[in-house]
Amino acid sequence: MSDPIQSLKRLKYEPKPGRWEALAERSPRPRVRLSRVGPVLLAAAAAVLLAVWARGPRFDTVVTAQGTSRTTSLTSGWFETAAGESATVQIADIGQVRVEPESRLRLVESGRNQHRLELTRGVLHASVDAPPRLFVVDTPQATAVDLGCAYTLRVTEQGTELTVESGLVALEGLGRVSVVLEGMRARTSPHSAPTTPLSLEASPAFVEAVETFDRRDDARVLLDISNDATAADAPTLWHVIQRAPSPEREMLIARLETFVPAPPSRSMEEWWKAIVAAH
Amino acid sequence: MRAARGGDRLAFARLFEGFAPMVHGVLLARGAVHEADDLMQDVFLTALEQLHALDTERVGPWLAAIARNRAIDSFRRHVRLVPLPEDDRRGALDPERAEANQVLAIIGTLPEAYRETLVLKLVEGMSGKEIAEQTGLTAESVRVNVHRGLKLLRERLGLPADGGASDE
Repeated sequence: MSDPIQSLKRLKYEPKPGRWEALAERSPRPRVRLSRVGPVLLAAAAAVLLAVWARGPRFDTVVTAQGTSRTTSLTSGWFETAAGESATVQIADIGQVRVEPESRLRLVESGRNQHRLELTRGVLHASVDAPPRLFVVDTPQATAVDLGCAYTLRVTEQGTELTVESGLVALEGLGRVSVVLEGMRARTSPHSAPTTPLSLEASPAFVEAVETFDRRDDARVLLDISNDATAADAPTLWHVIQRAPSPEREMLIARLETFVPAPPSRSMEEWWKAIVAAH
Repeated sequence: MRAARGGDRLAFARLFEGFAPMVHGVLLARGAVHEADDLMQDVFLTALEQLHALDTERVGPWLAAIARNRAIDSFRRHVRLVPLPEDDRRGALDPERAEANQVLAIIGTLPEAYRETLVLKLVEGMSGKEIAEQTGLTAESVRVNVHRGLKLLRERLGLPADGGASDE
């Protein structure tokens, strides 16, 4: 049997002589350098930048403990809730985040294109009404990208767990994306990619088979996954199909088709849209 | 090098070719398999725009950093999909490439420290010395990453521990 590692050489970079020179000649000249900009303009720009830097982005936050509350701001510095203390963070004009006791988070970025938090410990409930990808939360193991929804993110030393209450969230990490729909959950742990999303109502046998496949990429459990799947597990099957080898992959495709017919285009992307619509 | 530093874009283009396999490997290691070629172009154009900031002593690490950022941006924009069998014409024609993609996906599940070094070695065929010089890692880090990463990769592929590429 040949060594599969040797097959990696097929992906090696293939030089195309002159490619970069041709691109350099076609590309526009670099923008005007700062040295050519008038000193007055430079000074004014520096003053504005300094003012923005000094204030920095911040979100209004209400901290509640034992029936009393105080207001503060979530900024780029770390913010922690103590035991018995919870907080509600207003995320610009798109929604709120409720933070449970003993959580640690900070504001990474807030702008027109993205509002981004980092949660390193604790539990966060997000309720956001915004275009997809406008609100993002980083955790030590993964990134939760809001696609229009309400969800709970729980971060412990063992990893990150995402549960979606409405809408859908993409959990991204280590080169894999799990798109988690309403009523489903996914997890990450240190050094592991996000798990396949699972319905909160999935049978224990189905959960066990999918988790085994996530841990070991063991194709032998794919028959169990196919047999134990129900219509509520269609999003899970779609994710498993991405990683399943043949011929088990064809078996799973046939199984998924019994729940949501494949589109005429045979495109996985189109099929996903149909699955979301049916969910 | 001096001409590139002085803003000579054609000189920089010739210089870039020497780092292109490293840039390609960094992109692959971050899961940008199908879009690696397009992203290399992005990396090149970004570097060209920032040519005035080029540090001639650290061209490789500078390009690697741009490549990592481009790969992360791309990853955040796209949910990766594999085609249904009827669409998988390239895979059907080239089973070895499909196998390579599967091995690369398994490398993607290894600890981050090992992924990039392994891809540069196993895909791009770079020596430990070249990897260290171009990425800014120490030679010792490269050696350890290759050794441990390869051991882990062989375990996950169900292969015996002693075969395959050397770790120098």
